Amino acid sequence: MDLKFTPEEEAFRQEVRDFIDANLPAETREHLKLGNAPTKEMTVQWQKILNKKGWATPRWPEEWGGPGWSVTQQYIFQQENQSAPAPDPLGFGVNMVGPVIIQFGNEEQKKRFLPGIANLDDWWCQGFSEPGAGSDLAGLKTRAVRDGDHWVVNGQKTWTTLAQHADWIFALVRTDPDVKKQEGISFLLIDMKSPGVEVHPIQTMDGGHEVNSVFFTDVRVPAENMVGEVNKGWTYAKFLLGNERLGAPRVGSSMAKLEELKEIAKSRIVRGKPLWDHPRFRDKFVEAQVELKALEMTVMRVLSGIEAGADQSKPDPATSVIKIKGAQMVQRMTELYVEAAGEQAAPWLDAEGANAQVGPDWTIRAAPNYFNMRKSSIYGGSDQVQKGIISKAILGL
Amino acid sequence: MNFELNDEQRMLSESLTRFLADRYDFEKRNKYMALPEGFDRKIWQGYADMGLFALPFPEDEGGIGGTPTETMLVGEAMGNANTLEPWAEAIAIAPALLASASAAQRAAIAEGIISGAHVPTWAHLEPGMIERDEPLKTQENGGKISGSKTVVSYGAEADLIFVTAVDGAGAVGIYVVRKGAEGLETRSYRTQDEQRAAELTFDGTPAEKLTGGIAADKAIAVAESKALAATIAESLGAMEQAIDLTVEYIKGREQFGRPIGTFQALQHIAAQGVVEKEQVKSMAMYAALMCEDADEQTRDLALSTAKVKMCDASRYVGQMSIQLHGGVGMTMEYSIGHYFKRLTMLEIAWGDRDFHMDRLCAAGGLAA
Repeated sequence: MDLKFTPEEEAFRQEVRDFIDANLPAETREHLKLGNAPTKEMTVQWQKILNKKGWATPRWPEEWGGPGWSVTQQYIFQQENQSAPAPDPLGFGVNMVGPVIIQFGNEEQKKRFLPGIANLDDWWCQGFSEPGAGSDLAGLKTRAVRDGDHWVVNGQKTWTTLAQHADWIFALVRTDPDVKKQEGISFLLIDMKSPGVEVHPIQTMDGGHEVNSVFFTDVRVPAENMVGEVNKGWTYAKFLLGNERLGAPRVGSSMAKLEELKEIAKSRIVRGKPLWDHPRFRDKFVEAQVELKALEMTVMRVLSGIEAGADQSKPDPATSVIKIKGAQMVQRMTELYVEAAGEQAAPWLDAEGANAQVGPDWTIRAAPNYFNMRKSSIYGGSDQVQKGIISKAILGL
Repeated sequence: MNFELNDEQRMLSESLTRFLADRYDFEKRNKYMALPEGFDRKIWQGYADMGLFALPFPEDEGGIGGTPTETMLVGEAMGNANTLEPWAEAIAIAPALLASASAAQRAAIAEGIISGAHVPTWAHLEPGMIERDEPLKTQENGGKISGSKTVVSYGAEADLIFVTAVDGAGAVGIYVVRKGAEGLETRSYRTQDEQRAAELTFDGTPAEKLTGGIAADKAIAVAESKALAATIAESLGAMEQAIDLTVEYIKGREQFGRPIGTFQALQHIAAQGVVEKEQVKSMAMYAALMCEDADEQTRDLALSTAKVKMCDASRYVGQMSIQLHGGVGMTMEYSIGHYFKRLTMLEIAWGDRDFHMDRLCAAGGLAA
C-alpha cells in the first residue's frame, strides 16, 4: 500500500493545474467561487477549451478522442477541475450518453454523435424519471411504438436537468408493455427540435430553473436513433448509472468549498474575533474535514481496486457508501455556509435584485444552495435506494 | 497511490485468520479468560511461532522488517476474533520504544519479545491524568523509579514493563522494569472487555533506561501513533464481526411470522452500519500509511482524523448491533455484547474522541 501519488502523477496534477490557471476565464472562476452554478455559455466555453486540449472526455477510449488516462489521472483531473473551480464537462453527454454510445451504439451513431458530445456542440439531457417512475425507474410508461422507419413516442419525462438548453435527449422508452417491466425498455436518442416535444420549466424551492418536464406527443423518431437492441435499454441504463459512481461524490468540490469557508471564517468578525477562532465553528469545520477525508480515502480505495483490475461485476459496498457520503458532504458544506452567514442568509437576492444584498457576496448563494442541494441525496438512487442495495446485495437480507 | 495488498500480506492475513478460527470461539475465549493470567500463554507462543512479534523489527535484528500495513492486518484479524492478549503492546509499542535504545539494549530485549518468552506492556498513564499528554509525576533517580501508573494492560502478568518517568532535570525518559522487580507492587483487575489491567506502584524500583529527553518524547509519540493505527484496524475487525453476527441474527430471528431481517426499518439500520464500517476500513489504511510519516504534525493530525471517524463509526455499529439483537444482545451469553464492550474500550484507548478533536482543532484541522 502507498498513499503517495507517483512523481508522474504529481507532475500530471501540476500540468492540469497550470493548464486550468492559464485557460479558465477569470469571470467563470469568480462566478463559481461565489457558489453560483455555471451558465450555459460558461460550460460550453470551458468544455470547448478542454476539448481542444483533448481533455473533455477523460473516460473515453483513445479511439474516440479520450486522452488515454488511468483512473487515477481521471480522478486527479476531476479534482483539479472541481477545486479550481471550473465547470464540469457536461456529464449528460460525456459521462452518460457518450459511454453508452461507445459501448452499445453502432459505428454510424458513434461518428454522428460523439464529436458533438465532446465539443458540446450538442447539449444532451437525460430522459429517465417520470411522474410515476422515480426510485422505481423500471416502472416508466413513456411509450414508443414502431411505425415504418420511425418510433412514435408519447409520454412525459420529469426532473429533466437543463432540458431548456438541450439539443438532444436520451430517453428510456417502453417498447414492450407485455413483458416483465425491465425487459420492455429501450434507449432512444431524440432530437429536441422534433415536432411534439415540449419543455415546461419546474421552479425549485431555491428559485432556480434547473429541472423541467418534457412532454412527447406523437414525436416521430427515426429508427436509426435507437441505441443497441430493442428492449435492452434497462441493461444500458444500468451501465450508465454504474459509470457515474466515481463522479458523484464531488470530493474535489467539497474540499475547495471547505477551504473557502476557512478563509471566510478568518475574516468574518463575530463578537470581536474571527469566526474561525470560535470553538463551535472550529468543531464543525474539523468534523466536516474528518468526514471528507474518510470519503476521499474510500474513493481512492475504490480507484486503486479498479487500477489493480478488481472484479467490477461483484457489488462493492464502497460504491453505495460513496454515493451516500458524497451526497451528505455536498449537503453539509451548504449547511455550514448558511450557519456562517447567520441572518445575512435571509435576503432573497435572486428574487429582489441588488436591493436585497446585505452581506458579503458569498452570503447570497448560501441559503439557495442549501435548499438546492437537498437534491443530492434524492437523485441518482436516493439514500434509501442505496441502503436497499446494501441490504440485498451486500448483507443478503 | 495504491491500496492493494501484496501476496505476503494476503498470506499473513489468511494464516492469522485461520489460526484464530481454530483457537478462538465464544467458549474457548471464556476458558482463556478464566486462566490465572486472563489469557493463554500457548496462544501467545503461537503468535510468536507465526512470526507476528518479529514483524516490526528490522531484519538485521532478528525481525522480518514489516510495515504498519502488516500491523493493520494483524489488528483487523485480532478485532475479528476479539482476542484477549496485549498484542498491540508487543507489535506496535515495544518495537517503537526500543528503536530509541542502544543497539545492544535493543537486541537483548527484542529477543525475548520475538521468541514469545516475554509479554511486554506499556505503563504511561498515571492516576490523576485524564489525557495521555498531561505531565508525568513518576520520578527516576539514580536508576530507580518511584511513582504510580494506572490501567496498565496486563500490568501484573507482563514480563517486561515499559515505563515513563521524569528525571531530576524534568526530562521524560523511557525505562524497562522486569516483572517482580524490587519495590514493584501490582493491583490487578478485570476490565470491561474481559481483559486484565493493573495499577502499578514503583518504590525505588530498579529500571533500565532506554532513552531520555527529546528522543524519548519522539519515541513515545511514534509508539502511540503506531498503537493508534493498530487500534483502528482492530476496531475495523470488531465492527466487521459485529455486523456479521447481527445480520446472521436478524436473518434467523422470526417475529410477526417472518424473519425480522425482512423489515426495511431494520435493513436500513444495518446498511448504515456498513456505510460506517467501510469508512473505517479506508481510515485504517490511511492510519497505517500515515503513522510513520516523517512530519510529526502531519502524522498526528492524520491519526487524529482517523480516530475521530473510528469513534463515531464504532459507536454506531456497536449500539446498532445490540439494538438489532434486541433483548438477547444485552446478555452475557451472546457474543455480540462482548464485541460491543471491546469496541467501546477501543474508542477510549490511545486518546478518546475529545482528545483527538482537541488536537485537530488546535491545529486548525488538516492542512489543505
